[in-house]
Amino acid sequence: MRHILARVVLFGGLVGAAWATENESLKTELQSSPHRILCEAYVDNNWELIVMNAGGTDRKNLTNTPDVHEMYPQASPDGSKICFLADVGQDGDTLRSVYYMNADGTGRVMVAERARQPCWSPDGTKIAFVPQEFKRFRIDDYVSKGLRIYNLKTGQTAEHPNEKIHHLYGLSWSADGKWIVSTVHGGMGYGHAILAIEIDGDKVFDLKIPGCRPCLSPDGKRVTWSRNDHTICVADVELTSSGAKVSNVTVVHQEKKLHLYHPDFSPDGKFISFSVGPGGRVRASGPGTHTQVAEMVGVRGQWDLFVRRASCEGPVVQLTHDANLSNKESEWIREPVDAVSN
Amino acid sequence: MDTRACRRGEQLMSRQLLSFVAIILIFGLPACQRQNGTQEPLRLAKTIEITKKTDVEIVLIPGGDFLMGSDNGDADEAPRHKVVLSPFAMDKFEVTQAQFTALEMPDPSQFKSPDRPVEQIRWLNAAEFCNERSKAEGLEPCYDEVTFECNFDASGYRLPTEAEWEYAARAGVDADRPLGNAPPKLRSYACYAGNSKNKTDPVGQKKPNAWGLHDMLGNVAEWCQDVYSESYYQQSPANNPSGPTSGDKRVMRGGSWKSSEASCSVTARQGCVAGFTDACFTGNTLGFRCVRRLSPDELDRLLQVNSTNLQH
Repeated sequence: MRHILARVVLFGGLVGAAWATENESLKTELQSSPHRILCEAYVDNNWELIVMNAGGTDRKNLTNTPDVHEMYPQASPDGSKICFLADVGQDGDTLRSVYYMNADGTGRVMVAERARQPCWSPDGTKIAFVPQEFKRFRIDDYVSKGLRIYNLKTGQTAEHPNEKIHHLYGLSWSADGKWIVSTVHGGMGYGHAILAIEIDGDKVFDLKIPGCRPCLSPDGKRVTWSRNDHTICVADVELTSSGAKVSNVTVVHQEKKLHLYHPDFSPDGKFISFSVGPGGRVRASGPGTHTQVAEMVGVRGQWDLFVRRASCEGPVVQLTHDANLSNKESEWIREPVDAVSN
Repeated sequence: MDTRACRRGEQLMSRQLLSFVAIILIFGLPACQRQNGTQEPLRLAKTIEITKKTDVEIVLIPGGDFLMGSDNGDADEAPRHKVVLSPFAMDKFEVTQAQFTALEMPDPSQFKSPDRPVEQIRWLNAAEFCNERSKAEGLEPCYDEVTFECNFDASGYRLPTEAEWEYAARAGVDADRPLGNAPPKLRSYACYAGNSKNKTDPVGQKKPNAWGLHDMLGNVAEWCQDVYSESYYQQSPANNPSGPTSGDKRVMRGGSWKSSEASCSVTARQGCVAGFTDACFTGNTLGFRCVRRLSPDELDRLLQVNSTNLQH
């Protein structure tokens, strides 16, 4: 009996040690990554965009704007620019707009007022976003009508040809430039679904994966998304003119009580970051915050960022350790090419 | 596009501010005027028009008492018990998508059409609509939009209590099944699994109940104000009961386009997660209608106007 107990303890110790080693190994790998991570965070009564290295250290406030609330950062594929949301005002009078700026926080340019959910084209020359359906601000996810494409070179905005587009959120542009994958909530004949929307046409395909906030990998061959409040998944995806096919669905991480949201692929496709936070509706707590379920943009909760390998092997590493800052909406940013070459 | 959509909404609102509301007054229903055990409905409704700020048709429901629940249904419908209600006004139809968007509230419905009922609606968004509608009509909103506690003394719109809903659905008929047990009759009054086209109907396509209320059974199940408790009827107060003080679920009543005939009943109760915890909450069977409690002065005024205008 004593022998069996000793073996169990020994085995447990070995497994624990191996896990700790793997955890440290992943942390070291992330710490030395040339890529960084952006997020929204609530700092000194204000939403700001924060950049940190992939290990979660060396945090810098990119925005520092006491009167404007910046959120939902999206990095251009080459890492040179960031598009984001900026709120001014409060509650129903909030004006939410889309902007972009240089990756160092300089050179802010407005893309559109009363707009949401920006994402970059794979060549970094365009930003897709959804306009608010009504003038008055509402925090809900189903508040947009249409899809617009902003051209950075011309400063012009074009309407997507599909006039039926309604209530999209969580947009991600495919690597071949032909599709935008997005959640729809109560629109286009769907109750709630993840769709592939043709960029230059009116084809729409249901990916038939329950959940929300899809994010395509930089090579366009995989998708990660929140399958429900508690589960992040990753799968292979194939988008062609004849349809959308999702296969090999794997769970990246799952929690019983906490909520998991906002998954994002690293620029090399090796890692998936995501936010872990509270479930349920939280009350507004400070300027620029809203009363809603905690995962919504602009709702302040106890969130921190985590990372796991996209292969779903090995441990989950916690990147941030101050949930009071509501660290969420993580977004990987590629080290700009010129910075790498220097 | 953005500006155009806003302008369209503003035009719709200003048109509504100049329009009328039709109120159907139901007279001569003293407290004890029940028709025990019979299927014969009361037919005392008359219509008048008074100036209001939205064009929603409302039925004035007189105060009274009735026997709520059933001893022949599911456990949560028992015991049958006496309830006394103050007068209130209730929407003649389920809230439509047109009404929703007219108040610049995004429509979460799957089956889009201006005259279909709003569905996929969370309880708290239904409560928000009540407040928006109250503000549009210059009434005091009932709901605190942070806590969503209801001020029953406020003059504005709110969701019906479960007792108000059942009283209105019964329309003066005491039997568990006011329409009787024959499915062919339900077909005339309700859009349900037996006759729906796998989606909602535009509101008011089916016959109204005896008090002029359409779609009380079927089409969309309707959110009530009350927190759901299976055992609530065992300790429910007799006067204007408004449900337990806390709980995760809210009451839904009436069944939907997807419901069986058995579920489309005036006594069947359902507890449904109110959507406080999930932004992506969906359910294309979930809708609502609004009520207002009327002050004695307001009631007297309406009855006086009615007595001079109505053709009996």
